[in-house]
Formats: sequence, C-alpha cells, structure tokens
Amino acid sequence: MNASLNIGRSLALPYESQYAMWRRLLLANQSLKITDILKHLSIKETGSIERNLNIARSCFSRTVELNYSTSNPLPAYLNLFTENNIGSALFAAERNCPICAKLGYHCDLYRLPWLKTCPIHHQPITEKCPECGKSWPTWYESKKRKCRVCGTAPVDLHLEFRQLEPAIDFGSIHELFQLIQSANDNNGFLLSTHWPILEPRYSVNFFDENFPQYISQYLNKNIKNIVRKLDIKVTKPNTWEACQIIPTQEHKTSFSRHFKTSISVRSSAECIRKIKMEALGDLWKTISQTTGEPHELTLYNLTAIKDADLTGDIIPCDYCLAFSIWHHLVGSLPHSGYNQLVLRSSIYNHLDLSKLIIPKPMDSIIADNRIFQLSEEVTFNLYYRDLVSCFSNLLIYVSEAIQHLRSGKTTNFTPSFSGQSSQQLEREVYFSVKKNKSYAIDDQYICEIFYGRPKKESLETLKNTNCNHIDCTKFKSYLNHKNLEPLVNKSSSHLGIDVETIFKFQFGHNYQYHHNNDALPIINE
Amino acid sequence: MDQQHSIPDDHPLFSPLRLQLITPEIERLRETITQWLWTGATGGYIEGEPRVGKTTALKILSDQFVTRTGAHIPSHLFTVPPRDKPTIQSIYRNLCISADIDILQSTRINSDILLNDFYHFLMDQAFLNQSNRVILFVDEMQRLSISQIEVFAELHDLMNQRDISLTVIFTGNDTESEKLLTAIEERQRRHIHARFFEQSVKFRGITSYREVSNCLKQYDKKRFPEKEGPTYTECFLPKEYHEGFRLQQLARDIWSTYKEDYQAQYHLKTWGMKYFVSCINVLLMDYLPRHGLSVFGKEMLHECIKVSGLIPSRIQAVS
Repeated sequence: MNASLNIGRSLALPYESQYAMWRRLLLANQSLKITDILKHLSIKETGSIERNLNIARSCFSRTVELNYSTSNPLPAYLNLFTENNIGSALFAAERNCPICAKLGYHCDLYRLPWLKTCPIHHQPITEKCPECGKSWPTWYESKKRKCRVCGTAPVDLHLEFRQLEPAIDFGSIHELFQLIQSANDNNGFLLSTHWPILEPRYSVNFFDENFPQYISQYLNKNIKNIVRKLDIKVTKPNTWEACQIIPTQEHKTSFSRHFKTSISVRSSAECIRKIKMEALGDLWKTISQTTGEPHELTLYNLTAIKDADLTGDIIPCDYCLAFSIWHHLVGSLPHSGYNQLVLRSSIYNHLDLSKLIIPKPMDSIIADNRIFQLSEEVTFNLYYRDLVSCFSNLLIYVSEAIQHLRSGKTTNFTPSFSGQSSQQLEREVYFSVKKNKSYAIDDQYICEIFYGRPKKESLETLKNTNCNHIDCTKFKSYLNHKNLEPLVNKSSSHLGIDVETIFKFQFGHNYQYHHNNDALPIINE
Repeated sequence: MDQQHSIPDDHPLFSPLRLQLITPEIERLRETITQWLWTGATGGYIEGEPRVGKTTALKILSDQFVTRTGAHIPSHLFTVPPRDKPTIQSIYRNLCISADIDILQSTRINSDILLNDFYHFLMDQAFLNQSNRVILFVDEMQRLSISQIEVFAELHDLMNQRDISLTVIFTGNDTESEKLLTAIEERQRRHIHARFFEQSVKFRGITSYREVSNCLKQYDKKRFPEKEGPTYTECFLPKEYHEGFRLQQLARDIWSTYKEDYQAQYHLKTWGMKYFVSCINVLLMDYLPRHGLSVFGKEMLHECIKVSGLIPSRIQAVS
C-alpha cells in the first residue's frame, strides 16, 4: 500500500483520452505541483514542458496503469489517435463536451471535426468552456483554472456532480470507435473512386471533415443506426464529388525534425485530365520537331498487336507505340480503359513495366505527422512533368524492346535507362521544420521536392528513333484499324501554365515553393 | 557464541519489529474482523492494554483480509501522531503522509485538497484490487479528539457515494481511550458511534501455557532466510538444535515461572507480546548460548523477564 502518486482510478472511464488521463492525475493529486508529478514519473525537468510530456507519455504508459479495465498498457483506441497525427495535441482538448468536462472526462473522438454532438450526453461539442468562456485548457493549464467545469476542483465537487449523473452509457462511443477503427484499417472503409488514374481504393482519413460522406458509400444498417443516433449528417456523394473533396485538416505538430514522404492521390479529376491533354499536345509538338515532319500520333489498340506484328517487316512507329502504352498507363484520357488482364496476353508479355513509374498526381505531403496540402499549381506542374518523363522513358524502353525482340535473343531484355523500380519513390520530398523560439509564432516548415534521378529523361531529350510517320501509316493500314482515328493534336496551353516555368524543374534542381501562412509548405530559400 | 558471528545483521530476532509471531489472539482478531467485514460493518474498535501487540497484529493481518468470495480487501494502517493542537487538518495531513503522498513541499494546502488526495489514494487501492471495500486501520485512537473522528466519517461518506465501502477500525489503549469512547456515546455523536463504534473486540497478550507453547513453536519452525535458512532456534543454538532440542520444550517452565512469580504478584491479566518476545529473544540469543541449556532454570528466566521491562511497566501502571 505504498503509493507515491495517485492515479485517480475512480475517475477513469472507458475510452478516455490521454488528455483525460493526465487531467485525472491532477484531480487525484491536488497537493502536488506539475513538476512534482513529472518527478514522480521519473521525468527530469529540463526543456519545455511539451518535450517532457512527450517523454512522459511513454513513461506514463509504462509506469502507471492507464487503462480502465484491461492489461493493455496503451489501449487500442488510444493507439488509433496516437498514430494519427495528433502529437502533442494529446495533452490538450481542442473540443469537448461541457458535461463530460465537468465529470473530468474527455474522449479523443471529440477531436473529430465532423462530430458535432457528444455521443453520451447529446450536447454540442464546443471549443470553449461554457462556464468560464475560455478555450478548453491543456491538462497542465487546468491546474490553474478555478472553473468548476474545466478546472481541477477538489474531489467533492466532482462527486457532487457525478452523483447526479446517471449511469453513463458508452455504447455510442464504443460503436463510433469501432467504425473509425474499421475505416483506419486498410481492409476497412476505403473510398473507391472508379477513376482509372487514381488508386482504385482510397484510404479514408477519419480526421477528414468529410469522413461521414466518405463512409456513406458503405452505409449498412449498423452504421446507419450510429449516424442517426449521433445526429451526423450524411449525404452520399457521387464519385466525381468524392474526387473533388480536398481535405484541409491541419494538426498540431510534434517536434520531430525528420520527415517521411508520402504520395497522396487527390485532386480534381477534370483538371488532371486537362493536364494530360496538355502534356499530350506538347509531346506531339516535340515529336514533330524531332522527326522533322508532322506526325499524327496513332493510338493503337494494344490488344490487337501480336508478337508477330512487333517482329515483322512492318512495325509500328516507336513514338506511336510508346504513346499507346503511355496512354494506357496514364489511363484517364478519353476512350481509354484497357483491361489489364487482356493486355497481359499481348504486347505486355514482352515489356516489364515494373521499372516504369506510372505518374500519379501528388497533392499532399505527409511529414512530421502533418498533412500538407500542395497548391493546385504545384500539383499540376509536378504531374505534367511526370507525364512527360514517363513518355520519354517509355519511348526508350519500347524502341529498345522491339530491337531486342527482332534480334531473336532469348535473354531477358534490359533497357538502357536505369528506371526506378516500383518500390522506389519517384520523387524525394525533404521536409524540415524551422523552429521558432517563441511559442506564440508558429514554426516554419520547409519543403523541398527533388528530382534526383539523373538518368530520367525529359521532353527536351526526347529520343529520335529515326521513325517517321510513314511507318505509322503503313502499320495502321497493315492492322486495318480504320476505326482508330489519330488523336487531334493539341498544343495550346489552356490551363495558363507557363511551359517555361515547368521546365525550371530540371533534374537535380530543387523545386521550392513559397506559400502563405495559411497553407503549407513554406519554403524560404 | 562463535556461531553468532555468522548470523546476518538483518535477522528478525535482532529487530523485533520484523519478528512476526502468529498468536492464537491474532487468529481470533482475524476472525473477528473478518466477521465484521462479511456482515457489512462499517467499523469497529480494538481495545487492549499497552504493549500487548495490537499494532503488530494489525501489521500482520492488514493484507490478509478477503471477501466471502476470496477477493483481497485492500487496507491502510494509519497511526495517529500526538499533537498539541488536535485539528482536523492535521489528521488529513498525517493521513496523506502515511500514504506517502508528497505534500511537504506544497504551500497551498488546505483540508479540501488533503482530503481529496487521501480519498483518491483509498479509491485507487479499491479500484486496483477491484474491491468495493477498503479497510482503514487507525492506531492510537486515544490521541484523537472527537472532532477529528469526523474526518473518517466524511471519508466514509464520500467513498460510499461511489459505492466503495470504507471500514474504519480503530485501535487504542483501553484505559486511555475511555474518555473518547464516552464522548462518542453522547447523543450528538450517534452518527459516529453508529458508523464505527458499535462493535468492539478486546485484544490480549498471552494468557495461557498453550499460547506460550504456540509462540515458542514458531521459533523452532520459522527460518531465516526463509525456506533455506536455519530456524531461529537452530541459528542461535545450532549444536543443541541438532541434538534434538526445541525451544518449545521450555514452554511449561516459562509459563509456570511467569504465572507463579509475576502474574499473581503484579495482577497481570495478560503477558504483553512486547515483553514476552523481548524475554524469549534475550533467552534465546544471550542467556542460553552463553550459559548453556544445563543452567536453564527459574533464575535465568527471572533475569530474562527483568530485562524485558515487564516489571517497570507494571510498577508504573500501578502507581
């Protein structure tokens, strides 16, 4: 019975947040200063309190039984939020239910922007304490608050209130956690965009304000009951709308200086389609200049091309063949939609496309436990550049592959360019935090996007394969694909993107982007 | 004496506070308190002469109480310190200190805060043990004022609101507690009486040959270090022990000497455990190893009882 620090176990309630756990530590140890509590947890008082608390969080979970009923040192529901970018916000309650706050309770679910009503008390979840009018305190600020709702009053006040409180039903909280857990699980709720160039399945972030809309696609009876009980407004979006939903959440950062990269595919489908058309137009223009003749790019039906077609006397033009494959790979141009399985039985048998990077628009970066939204301009510029680069690589690949086929060699074909494997990232995104000394000023984030692969080709170095349009015409008539009309050339830059600007993204050169304070990233070099 | 050089310094016989002999009286106390707990009593008090072993008994028993289903009931032992001014805050403060709550450095302490922290200490124990009952032993109750007893009533009520039952068991010296007990029985203190003082038990020291024999038997059985070490008797009298000697064999002589030469003369109702243990320890650790078993007799026992302090305590008590 030797106790040096009260845990406040009697105040523990199911699904409580770490914030609530810390707060009950204060409630149960009124005579101790925060520094004393940290000392009891073997945390030295050096550096900022946030830094200490980050240490304390791990220490706390080891030394003190956090969980209400199980032996799990850090319950799964806490892990869910810990792993999802809320960092030091764990020690604050940005939003809370006033009645829960009075009980000393807080649940991480209240952080979710789309949850407007407390699942327990059916009261509005607020950003300020209705009693004192101040923002909900961090756990250590609550020590100084005299407020009966958000402060740390001695035990009798809480008891007096808890007496009035009927048995708390955590059923709704449980269901909601299960729902989110499912969404967080890769095998759970995923948004299918039905859009060829995007990932066919789209992971849903439950911090997203539009999360209920995302999951609405999967509404079953259970979910319907939950959302009805919690008064969550759910409207089912169509695929197009879903693609256009761009989450804008920002979470407070932890103070890791390191980065991790992530490619996220989200943007407006229509704009991306236009970017593709623009890239196509510029490709056409460059090919015409390279070959010295007007070259009608022919879109071949890849399923119709047999092995013999590639090794025979009449072969397709490298440009058009590369273009046809490119068209398939980038996939969102009009009339596209090749079936992957069908292609496996045709020309794809001879091409190892795993070395090619399939361009995808990148609209956000996950770094330092935050999601940073790139501006549309950056996203489109990067995407345009990737499309061109993909075509250049493909052109080399196709011309070399055909030569290899025609030589009759049985060895595996190895292209001359050192394309990246699909496991590697097509970009390198470096992310760093310029930390301000004053907490009043937000830290500055610096994002640098590199194209560091020197062998990757660009439109400027588009290979002259010595093919000309006559070959294409011959081959087209050979295939008798009269229904495959050449695409209309398109060279106008209708999105207002300055081509010269785009080519500033030379290989090995940094791309740096200045952004205002409201959005990230911020680059200042 | 040579053997004693190898005896470890932390041997229980060198520090009587660590020596725990389970006497029949302690067993009886265990049964009584268990009965209180199982019948839902919210408190009781244990009275007895000074130095009969009430506190030691509580220390031995404190972590041994279980519910009807065998679940452990947590407990906390609080010894009331003597104070010039018997304030309520001093009780809260000392309760917190007894619970090892670090309040000494804190400046803004009031009774509410102290109550809060000690309340949470008890609640933590209840929840940690998944028990709906906690026992608080309050030793030296004669040092409490009537107003200070209210502290325990408040704690009891607070915990009751959270469906945790606090059983407060007071212990005190019988004669010195009379004044407090009389005050509690007054009409205006009925709420305290009803909570904690409706049931009582008398705790005595050794009163029979059988109890002496039982205690000496434990010297022959208990080992240090536990399980692997020699028995207490073997430790100090190794040669005699291996020749078949057991301390228990002296029980009749010890009891008859006490009964004939001290009990009647000094009107002793019981032989206080403190004096008994002290007497036996001197006998086992000093006299028998030094002079040998062959010299054992009434004269040696008189010396041991004299060294134990039994007689001065009685003279003081009588005078």
